[in-house]
Amino acid sequence: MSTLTAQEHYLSSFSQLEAKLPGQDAAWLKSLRLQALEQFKQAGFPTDKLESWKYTNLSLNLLKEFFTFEVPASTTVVAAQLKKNGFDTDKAHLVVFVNGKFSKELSSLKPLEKGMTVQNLASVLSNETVKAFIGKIALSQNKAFTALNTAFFTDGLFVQLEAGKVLDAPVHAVYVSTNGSQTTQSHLRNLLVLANDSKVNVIEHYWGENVSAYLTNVVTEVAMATGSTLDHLKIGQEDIKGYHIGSLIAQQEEGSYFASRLFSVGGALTRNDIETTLGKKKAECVLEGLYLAKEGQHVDTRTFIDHLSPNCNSTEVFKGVIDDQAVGVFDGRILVRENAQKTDARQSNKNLLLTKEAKIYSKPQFQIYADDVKCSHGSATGQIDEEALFYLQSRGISRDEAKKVLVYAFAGEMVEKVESGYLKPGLKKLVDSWMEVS
Amino acid sequence: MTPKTQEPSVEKVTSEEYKYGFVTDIEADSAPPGLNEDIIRFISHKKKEPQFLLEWRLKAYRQWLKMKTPEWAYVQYPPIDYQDIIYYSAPKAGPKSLDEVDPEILKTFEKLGVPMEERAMLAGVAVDAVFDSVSVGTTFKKKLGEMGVIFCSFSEAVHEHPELIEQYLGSVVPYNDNFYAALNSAVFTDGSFCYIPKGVRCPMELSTYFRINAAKTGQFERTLLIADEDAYVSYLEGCTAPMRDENQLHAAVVELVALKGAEIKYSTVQNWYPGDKDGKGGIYNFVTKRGACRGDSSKISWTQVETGSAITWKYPSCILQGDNSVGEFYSVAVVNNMQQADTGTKMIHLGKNTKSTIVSKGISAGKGQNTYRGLVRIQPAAENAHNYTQCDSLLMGDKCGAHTVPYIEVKNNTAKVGHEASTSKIGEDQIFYCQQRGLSKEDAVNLIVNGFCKEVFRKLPMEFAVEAQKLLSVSLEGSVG
Repeated sequence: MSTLTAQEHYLSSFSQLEAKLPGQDAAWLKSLRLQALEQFKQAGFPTDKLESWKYTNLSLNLLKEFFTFEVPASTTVVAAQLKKNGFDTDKAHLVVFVNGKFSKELSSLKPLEKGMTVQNLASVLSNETVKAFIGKIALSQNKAFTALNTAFFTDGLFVQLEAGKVLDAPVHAVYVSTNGSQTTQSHLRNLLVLANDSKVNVIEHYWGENVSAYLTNVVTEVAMATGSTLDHLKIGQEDIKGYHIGSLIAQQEEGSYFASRLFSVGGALTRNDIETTLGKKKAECVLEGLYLAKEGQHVDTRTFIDHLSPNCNSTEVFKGVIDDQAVGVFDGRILVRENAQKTDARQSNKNLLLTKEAKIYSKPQFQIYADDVKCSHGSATGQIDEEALFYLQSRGISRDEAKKVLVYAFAGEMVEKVESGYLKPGLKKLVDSWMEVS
Repeated sequence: MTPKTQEPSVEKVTSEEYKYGFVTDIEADSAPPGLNEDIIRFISHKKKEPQFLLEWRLKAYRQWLKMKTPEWAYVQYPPIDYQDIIYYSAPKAGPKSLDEVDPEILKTFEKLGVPMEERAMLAGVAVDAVFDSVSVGTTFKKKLGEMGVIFCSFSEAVHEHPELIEQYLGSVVPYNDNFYAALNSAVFTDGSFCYIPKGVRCPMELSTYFRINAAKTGQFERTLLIADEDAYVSYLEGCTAPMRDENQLHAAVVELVALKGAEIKYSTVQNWYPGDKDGKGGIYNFVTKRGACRGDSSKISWTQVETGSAITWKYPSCILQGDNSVGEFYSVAVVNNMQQADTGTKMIHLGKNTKSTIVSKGISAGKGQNTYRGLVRIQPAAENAHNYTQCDSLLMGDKCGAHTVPYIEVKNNTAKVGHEASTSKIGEDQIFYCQQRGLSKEDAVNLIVNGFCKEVFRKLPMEFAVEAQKLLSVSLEGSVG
């Protein structure tokens, strides 16, 4: 079974689906979709021969299985579940998507003051801003999944803030996959546009309650104007049968501050690409993440920070806990271009292996073309410290309990770093429940 | 922000002429340029090689034809026309002793500051000098022979110890390992061979001086070094080359085998012609170096100081097969002007309690591009493996680049793997401090750079350490930034 068959399936599906995709009256979008389809045709699905997919082997047979594009949404009580999981959704703008489509009944959008928009993308495709940014930040060239997303996306989150607007309550977008016995796929596109000095906190929350395999392919584009601030948090809580491919691509202007935090616990295979371009001086980014994997899970995180301009700072901390036969991949690349003098870039990747079969591949990279810079990275991989375990045991704590304490001490740091009171209880629960089950 | 303006005195770039650039005029017995099976047969016939070697060469050649030039390294150069290279060139008369060596060649060595007899006497170093592709003289051979140490040219070893060659050749770097190794396997003309018998501690540091001479002759060395059980050897490799306009290809292969309890220390000072200020000329150095710690408790240590070559593509590696075996890699790589270096190491942990240490110091000046590329792989069976990696880069000037590409693959949770890397500019405050103590700016930079590299220099044998420091200051002269 070759790549072609999976690829062909997508190509032929397009002509059938085209008429049903949103944005029928937007000619620009139609041609963008066609162009992306062509780019997908050229790129083909990535194989492990590609450096950026070296450690993640997509099972192409599986890709073919995600044949069904449209699955009716069964009802699910999102808000109640979130509450149970520690997120007090009353305090947030809740935007819910089920199987790739916006669900008005499940969402609770609060009224917003003028100059702020929180919507589903499909309903605003005639908006000029959307036209100006979609496909301009996340380029489809040589990126099969981004191209697929551009061609097939059905919906997603749209947030726009005009100059100086500050949205205090977080925007909590939940993407539910629920498919019963059908294999399914959804392509989601999010667009966040922040004008000068605006500020917002956005949560992308992916979650699956499935009995069959499914694919979530998401692309988030972020445009940040001068002085804007975005606190972005992504929770990957896909079902154990879910495949998640996600790209978060940001473009930062002068003095903007972009924080991206990733908490990935679910999914059979999870791939996250996080990229930001520090395009103008004094822009800053903080990329943090925690990936927890067990059983046969495969979690691949790839980051790329492009220091294009002088006086920009970037801080990157990623931690992983790998249990059972799971595999973790971290590939962090930092590029400091000739013009980017006075760059301060720090990167750290730490991994904890809990079993003999667990594997980790870490690839922290630097490409530096400017001289007046401070760059450092560190990567460390190890197991739970026997002496620390022994110490806790000598204090009357069972070995299992002691292990949990130490794993939490390691992983919990990433939760502690999150300042938002809205998120903390939920994230704590997330990490705790991961440890309970393992 | 506007780019930082620098003092003019700081900006001046070295115009230091390459000290060792001259061509020795001796008649070479060359094959016509080009590569095909006949050329390989010609080389093999010329060297009166046994059948197995010819077959091995042909196998490698056929494999090479199917391979593609590796393109993943951060280096750029025009495509090489492999049909335009002379694959065999040897001084006509084969010398039997030092007296018979072409006086021209001996003069060359003198110009290089390597008077063989003197050096041999004073330093107690046996020199197996490779001039172009054939060894011209070997000293101290007798003394080594008494201890059972075999140290000779590769061709000699092929005739005198074919069984060792057959057993070990290609056992660490197989003929199909990579593009350049395959090419080397097909066309290598000479090199060094060394065998240290069981329990012998080699009494002196073994040294080979490589030198590229006849114009347009790609040099394809093959070095095979075997340390039998509990043996110890320290091997030095150093090189200089004449000034040239045309790019010269050098694709060497070095194989080390350390059996149970053996230790090999392999040190290199590489100072080939780096090309002129505009990047014209200079050597392409595409080398495959690998050592196998076959036996338990064996140790292989690579130390390199890379200051020359237009392009360096080299990853001295250790395969830690034996339990408790140790691999080390200490490197200083300097690039100036248009030089490009993509170098690093691979540490493959297979055995239990294996340990590896990587210390890499990269210095970039001018428009040089310096990349550390390394792999640390802990295989599932490698219980309690340990790795420590440190990569530091120093940048001098705003046109140069320093890149770090480490691959870390851990498949056993008992492993402890740590990687640290930092990149920074040479400290203005440090230079200032030295200057106000009366040092010139140049001297201040030398002092700081030497301090930066100290960890690696300390690992070099004494005479090399001195040479390395000198080389470094020559390579960086005037490029303070």
